[in-house]
Amino acid sequence: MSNIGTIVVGYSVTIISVGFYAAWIVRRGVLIGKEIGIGSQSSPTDETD
Amino acid sequence: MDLSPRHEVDDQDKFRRDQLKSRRIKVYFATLILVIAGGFAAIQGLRNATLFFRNVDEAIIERADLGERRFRLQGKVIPGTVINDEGVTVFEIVHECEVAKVRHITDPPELFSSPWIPVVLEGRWTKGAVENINGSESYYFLSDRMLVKHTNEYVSVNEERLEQSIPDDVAMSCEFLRDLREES
Amino acid sequence: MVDGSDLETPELKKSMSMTATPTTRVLATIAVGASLVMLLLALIVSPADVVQGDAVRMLYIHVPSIWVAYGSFGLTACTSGLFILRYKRRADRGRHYDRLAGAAAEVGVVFTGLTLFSGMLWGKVTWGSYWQWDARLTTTVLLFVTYLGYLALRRLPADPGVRAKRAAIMALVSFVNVPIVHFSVDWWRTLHQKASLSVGRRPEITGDMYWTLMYSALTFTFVATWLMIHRYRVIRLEEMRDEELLLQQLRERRSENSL
Repeated sequence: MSNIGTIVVGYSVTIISVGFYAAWIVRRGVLIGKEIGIGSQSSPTDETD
Repeated sequence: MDLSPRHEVDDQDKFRRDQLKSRRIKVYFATLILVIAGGFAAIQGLRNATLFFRNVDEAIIERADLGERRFRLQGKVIPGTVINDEGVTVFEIVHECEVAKVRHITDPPELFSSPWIPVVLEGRWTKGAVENINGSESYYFLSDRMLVKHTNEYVSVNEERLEQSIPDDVAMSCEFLRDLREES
Repeated sequence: MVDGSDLETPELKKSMSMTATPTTRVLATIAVGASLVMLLLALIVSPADVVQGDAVRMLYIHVPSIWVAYGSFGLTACTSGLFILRYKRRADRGRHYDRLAGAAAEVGVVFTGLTLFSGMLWGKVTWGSYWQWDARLTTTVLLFVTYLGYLALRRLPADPGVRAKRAAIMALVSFVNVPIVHFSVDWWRTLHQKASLSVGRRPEITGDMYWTLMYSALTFTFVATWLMIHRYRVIRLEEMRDEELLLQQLRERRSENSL
């Protein structure tokens, strides 16, 4: 693989992986929140902000 | 609060228990795979990690003990010694002023062309009279695998740098490299 | 169960702010903005290396990834230590520390994975090989596998308190490998180069490259912090769901007994 090819693959995989991980976290939060029936009025964020 | 066990098991409870059981089996299986992977990595590491390569000076001292054994040899490629002899790359490497002649039989990595690049070669000592920059030798290193060992020094292409300059550790102490140093 | 089949319902879209707060929205904006500037610096502004050429640009993702992973595992170890020391005295039985440890470890594992992947690509163009079992690479794989094991331990069905204690002990034991990974290049002979930056040693990276590396590390820190905060909140939601499930089971049991 050429230098440029390596850089393209390396940066793309990093960006996509972090993006997918972030999206997975947010989606999981939304789905569990819905499952247990809490909306934005009762957030799990109280302890950290 | 009554938490006493029930005598009758309903379908929902059974379903939940089966789910838990299946989850536990999956986690145990994953743990087993991880332990095997960890063990494999540890064994590989213990085998190679402590002495990944021998430097040229050490390999010369240990030559009799090493005999025909395969090992990894490390040294800096001396510019001007590299020639291509019908698909075989012949060159000399130096470490602590000790020089080894190398015959490398596969394609070298791209960075091999950089002057004074440190390389790690896999192969064995082979009997054969050769001439190198430091005099005559009765052994050369026959290598079939080369790894370029780049340093943690990063220099911009925009900066002025003598690409042919001899690294300090080589130039300061090796008498036989004085001619090369003066040339550069 | 969570299956995502009804992700597109209007109520769900409205509740997309489940784990977000104004603070994390600001942090997300900073992280995305910093990442775009980082890409500009790393891929266009910073110069190529005199030996490696453009391959040196892998430095700006490879090195910050492992620094962030070290930091995350360090946070896991600190919070696990605090859990062990304080869980008896705290009203929440140390659950806050346990959540923080779990969130940080998961982020650390993601970034260790990225370090290994980017390192393999970089190794192929510089060393001429994707992988070698030298001390640095071997200990990094062990670090990755150990923390995967830690995450697996956290998923084992058990009483939350017992599970948190087991996880805290494993986190402290696992952290021993972090300095071993970092100093492996000094303690043993490795194909891997020495550390890019070390305390008390002059950096061997010239101007623009050095500052790009520092900026990349800062960007990765913003991203990792955002991920950790959100992951923490999701862990809290998971706990709330489990507590809800338990209460529901108790209610069902009670109503059955009263019949």
